[in-house]
Amino acid sequence: MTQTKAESNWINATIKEIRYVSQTMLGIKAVFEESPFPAFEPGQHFDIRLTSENGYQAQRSYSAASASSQNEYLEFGIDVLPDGEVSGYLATLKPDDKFEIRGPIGRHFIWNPGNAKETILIGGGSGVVPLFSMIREYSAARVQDKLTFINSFRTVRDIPWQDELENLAQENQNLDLYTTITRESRVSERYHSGRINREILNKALEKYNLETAAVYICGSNSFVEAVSQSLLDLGAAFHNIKTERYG
Amino acid sequence: MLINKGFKPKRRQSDTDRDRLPPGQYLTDDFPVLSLGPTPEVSKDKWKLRVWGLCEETSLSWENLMKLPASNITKDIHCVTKWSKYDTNWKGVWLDEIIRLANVDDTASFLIAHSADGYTTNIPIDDVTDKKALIAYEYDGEDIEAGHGGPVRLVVPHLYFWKSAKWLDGLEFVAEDQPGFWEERGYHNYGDPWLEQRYDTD
Ligand SMILES: Cc1cc2nc3c(=O)[nH]c(=O)nc-3n(C[C@H](O)[C@H](O)[C@H](O)COP(=O)(O)OP(=O)(O)OC[C@H]3O[C@@H](n4cnc5c(N)ncnc54)[C@H](O)[C@@H]3O)c2cc1C
Repeated sequence: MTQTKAESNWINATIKEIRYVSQTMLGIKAVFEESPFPAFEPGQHFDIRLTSENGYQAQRSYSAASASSQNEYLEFGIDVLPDGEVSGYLATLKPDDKFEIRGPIGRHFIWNPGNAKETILIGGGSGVVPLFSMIREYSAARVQDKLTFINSFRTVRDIPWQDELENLAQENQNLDLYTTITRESRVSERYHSGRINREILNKALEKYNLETAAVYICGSNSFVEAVSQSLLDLGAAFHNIKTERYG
Repeated sequence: MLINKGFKPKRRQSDTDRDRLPPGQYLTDDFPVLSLGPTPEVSKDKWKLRVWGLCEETSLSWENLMKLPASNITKDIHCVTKWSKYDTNWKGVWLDEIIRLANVDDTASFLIAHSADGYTTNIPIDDVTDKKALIAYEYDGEDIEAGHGGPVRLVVPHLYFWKSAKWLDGLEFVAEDQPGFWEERGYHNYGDPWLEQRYDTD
């Protein structure tokens, strides 16, 4: 195995809690017994590394889902993919099991309370994970600024941390939720149906000034591409849009 | 180092992969897209490549670029987000041509590549000379798609792929190093995939 300088940056994370937070998304709360808590900002990600008994290693990136001011644990939201090398293995772990992480990584797709009077977060599928960190931090900070979370899932059962999200929105009238479901035709009236498009964005963002709002979009490449183009068409400013693409 | 009991590779790695894949990378057949914001719209007829700094300031149009000698390369590329892709084929003009055209001064030790979306990245001059960096306008025999940086992008295959600026519209030659967009935001200043220089602490 090549020994590189990067080696010293890995720390052990110990699983405190592991459970499904949606039909396919695994919520893993990790603690750090051997090293200090890795302080991060909402939107940043960590690398997780797995090593097999014969020395084979795999690394993947996972965004932080927990609020950054809360340092009892670091939570990940990991979509367990059919035959996924890393996500599939993580799904077999139990409390007290360990894995290696390094980070936080990235200083572009970051949001902190007070950054903008109006913030628009748009996520699809596992792309909502870093947005959850932002929403949790926003809620903990109790700022007066407006924040809207537009999200899209295949089915209602794919929405992670659903109860918590609805509670947060109920407690805070400045936090708006707009959820759209793409693969179920009959859903409760709490949700909308269809993919996020220009009409949906126009409706969901009525109260927002698109020219000045800070926009964060995260999801698959095709999702990010479609949503950012629609927003530009609606008058959003190119340089106010930050994107994160999961490939 | 921690061993993850029961963890096994899902996909068999051949002996060639072991020599061909830099540490921490995995092979993909797709071509994922990473960028910091929306895809900027750049059309061939409006495209211009500005060249400035320690050289004779100049500017190339799409037509000018097409008249320069073209080369084809087939190279493996490595993205810092862990995927690698073998045998990607690009057509374009070696950066050496531009250096010659613009009479770049010997005191220039870094290239700052600029993109239409405001992105920048820094590369030592020795890493863009002697046929190491291509100003590419075709991928796999076709125009480069906008998502992948078309109409014109830089391709510097021996460094992590964020150094291969998409939507290339400026080449600035400088004496002193200046960290670019990702280099200022926690990514490694040089980015050698074989030394796994991903982040600024590597
Ligand atoms: C900055 C960043 C942040 C991210 N944050 C998150 C996050 O918070 N949550 C999250 O869930 N994901 C996140 N991702 C994605 C994550 O890093 C992994 O890509 C994802 O978990 C898949 O890894 P895996 O090892 O489970 O699957 P892989 O083994 O890499 O496979 C991915 C998929 O492709 C298929 N596949 C791969 N190779 C083959 C092959 N040869 N033949 C057939 N099928 C194949 C697999 O079956 C699987 O469905 C993030 C990515 C980035 C870049």
